[in-house]
Amino acid sequence: MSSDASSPALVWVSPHLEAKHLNQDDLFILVDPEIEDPKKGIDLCLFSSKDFPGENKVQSLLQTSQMSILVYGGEDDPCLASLDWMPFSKVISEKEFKKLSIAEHFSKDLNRMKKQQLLKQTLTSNYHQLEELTQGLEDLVDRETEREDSAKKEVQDSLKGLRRLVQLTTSLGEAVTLEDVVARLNKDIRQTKFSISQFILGFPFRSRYELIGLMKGRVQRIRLEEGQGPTSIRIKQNDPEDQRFLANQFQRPFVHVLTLPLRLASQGAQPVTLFVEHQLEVGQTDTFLEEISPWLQPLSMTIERLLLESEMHEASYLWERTFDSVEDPLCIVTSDYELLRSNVHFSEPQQAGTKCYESFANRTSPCEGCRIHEVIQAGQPQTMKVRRAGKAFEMTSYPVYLGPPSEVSTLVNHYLDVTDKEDLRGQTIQNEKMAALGHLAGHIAHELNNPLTGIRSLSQILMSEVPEDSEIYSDLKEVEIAASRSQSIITDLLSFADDRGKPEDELIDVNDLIESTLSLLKVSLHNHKVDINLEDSQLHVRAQKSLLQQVLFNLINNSCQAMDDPGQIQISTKEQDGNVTIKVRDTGPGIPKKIRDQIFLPFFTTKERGRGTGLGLSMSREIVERYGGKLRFDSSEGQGTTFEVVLPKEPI
Amino acid sequence: MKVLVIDDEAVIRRSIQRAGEKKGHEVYLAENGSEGLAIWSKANPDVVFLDVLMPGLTGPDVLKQRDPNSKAKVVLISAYTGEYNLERAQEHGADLFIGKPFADIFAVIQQAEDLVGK
Repeated sequence: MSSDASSPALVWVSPHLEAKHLNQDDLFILVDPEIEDPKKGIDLCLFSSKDFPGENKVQSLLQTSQMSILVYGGEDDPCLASLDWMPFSKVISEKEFKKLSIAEHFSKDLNRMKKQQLLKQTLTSNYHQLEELTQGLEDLVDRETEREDSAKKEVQDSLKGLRRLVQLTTSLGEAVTLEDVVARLNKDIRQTKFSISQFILGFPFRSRYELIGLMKGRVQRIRLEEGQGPTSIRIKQNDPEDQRFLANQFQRPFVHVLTLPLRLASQGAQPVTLFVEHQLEVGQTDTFLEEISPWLQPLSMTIERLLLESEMHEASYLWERTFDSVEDPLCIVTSDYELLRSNVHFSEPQQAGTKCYESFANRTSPCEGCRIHEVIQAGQPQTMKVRRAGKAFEMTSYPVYLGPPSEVSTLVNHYLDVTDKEDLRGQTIQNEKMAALGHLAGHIAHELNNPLTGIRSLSQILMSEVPEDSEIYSDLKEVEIAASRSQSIITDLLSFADDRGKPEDELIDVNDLIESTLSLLKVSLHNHKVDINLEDSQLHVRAQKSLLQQVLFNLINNSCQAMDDPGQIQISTKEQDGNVTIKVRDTGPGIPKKIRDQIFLPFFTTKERGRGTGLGLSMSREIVERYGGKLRFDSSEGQGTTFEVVLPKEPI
Repeated sequence: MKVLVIDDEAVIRRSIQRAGEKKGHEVYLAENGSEGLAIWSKANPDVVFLDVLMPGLTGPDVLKQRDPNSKAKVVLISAYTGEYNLERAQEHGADLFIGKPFADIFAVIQQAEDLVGK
């Protein structure tokens, strides 16, 4: 409100005041109390004490406008008594008031009031100006100080930010898992002024979306159902969908969530997203975003690296599992037999640079029969036979081309265990051999028995015709003995061959069996001295005669063959602890230590090609064990070897 | 007693002949089955040594075709002991089986004498 002394004043009159008291002159403009609000630009308010709106109202009227207030009422009106505090106001009794018109009442006062008002206004305005000036100066000083401070702070802050960024980048570079990344982020944010509960990292992995965040105080990884997870690449704040999504996964409510999708070079359908659960105040979010925005690039790079590593690790794991799942030995080798990779069935994990034959067959040179060089030259896969520790393998070597198409870089070798097949084949060969021998023996026996019978019988007849002390008798006796011996050899041969195919076990006198076996080995034994020391009593075992004879035949024959120079063979039988022990001892060079644990393995042979199948000892052991016995040996190099057959004695 | 030897092996025939004659027996020889059957019916022997495996008629063949009225005891002899034993021999109608080679020719003659004497 503004007015000066000459302009008419606006007067608001309360309804109970009779308008007749107001003189219409140019000093006053009456305002219709029904329409106008007393606050608007009114210079004077006239109240009947009956209409007095109360002290509070008056206070507020006085504050909003610089008006004067006149209240009239009875002399004893308590309202009037309480209103002496009102500035620029006058309280007057009704009686007094009615004596004069309002104009008269106030014409004298009004100018004074106006002057007072004017003075007050000027004073106030001056005061305000002064205040403003002071404030301005203070502000200026403050601003200057602040500017200086903030410049300093800005430098400090930016330095601090940079330092933190470097720290974070280094720290992230050391992270080896995504869990690690989240843990480091959460730790780092605690060093700032921001009130952040936690960072949650979401990322697509192996066709699903995964979350890493704090759950019950620990960093945990949640793998989502297929098709779940965010798809938006917008920065969002308190997005209800995100709140719901996180609440579902973490089983608790999420209120303040900032969703920050990260930019990765290999962006898939679902973005890698950083969810920030926070208690930031309104307006702090921008500062926070400004603070962490430089983090996002190193963070993205780290996550990208770790995801790639995970995938590679996964691929490598998958590959290795597949490789190991093949139950045959597999390996990848260079052309120099150097082992690059092998599966668990090939050998134990090996040091780099190990040769395939070293780890596979414990050899110092390539396996016999290995032809990988031909594979390299021809560029075509080839199958070859190799052996390891009594096992026979069909090894197929496949060329691998990693570089130029004509250059074989490595080889994949696949080993198929054909031991059983070979074993069966070996046994079949052995059986066929024996069957053929039986057939031949039968034929020979038949062909020889007749003439031998004649020779022997005629000798006997002639002997009966000459005196027993004659030379002729002695000569005939020799003929008869020779024929007799020939007969017994044939009989043994026949029984050795004949028994085959008769599976029944029978009671065998071991001493007899040794005697008859020796007669079959005369040629082998003829170079050596044979020393036979048999138990006096009969030693019976229960077995298939031909099989047991085969065992003895093998052992004695081996002993003979072990001795290049004429030596001694001792054969002895003994009864011991309810067992029958048969020992065959030779004075040969002994069995070299390094092959001692191999001699019972099928196909193991020290004999030259064609002389031995490598089955003799393995089959012998198998036969002896079949009858509850044991076949073992004792050998010392240079001293000879003793083979010992122990079989349960059969009571007669 | 009269002894007939049917064997394709000359040395066997001769052995049994010599030993038999030495023991005072009358010995007839046949080198195959059909010759043997002819002598068998003509000479009516007391004992016949019959080889199993012969070209032409085998021992069992001869046994099938012999004169059913003959009272002769039959000793089956074979070099192939794997195939024959006493049981088998008796199935074929023989009385005794002796495997070749003989350990003692006189013992063989003795066995034949025992057989006839029973």
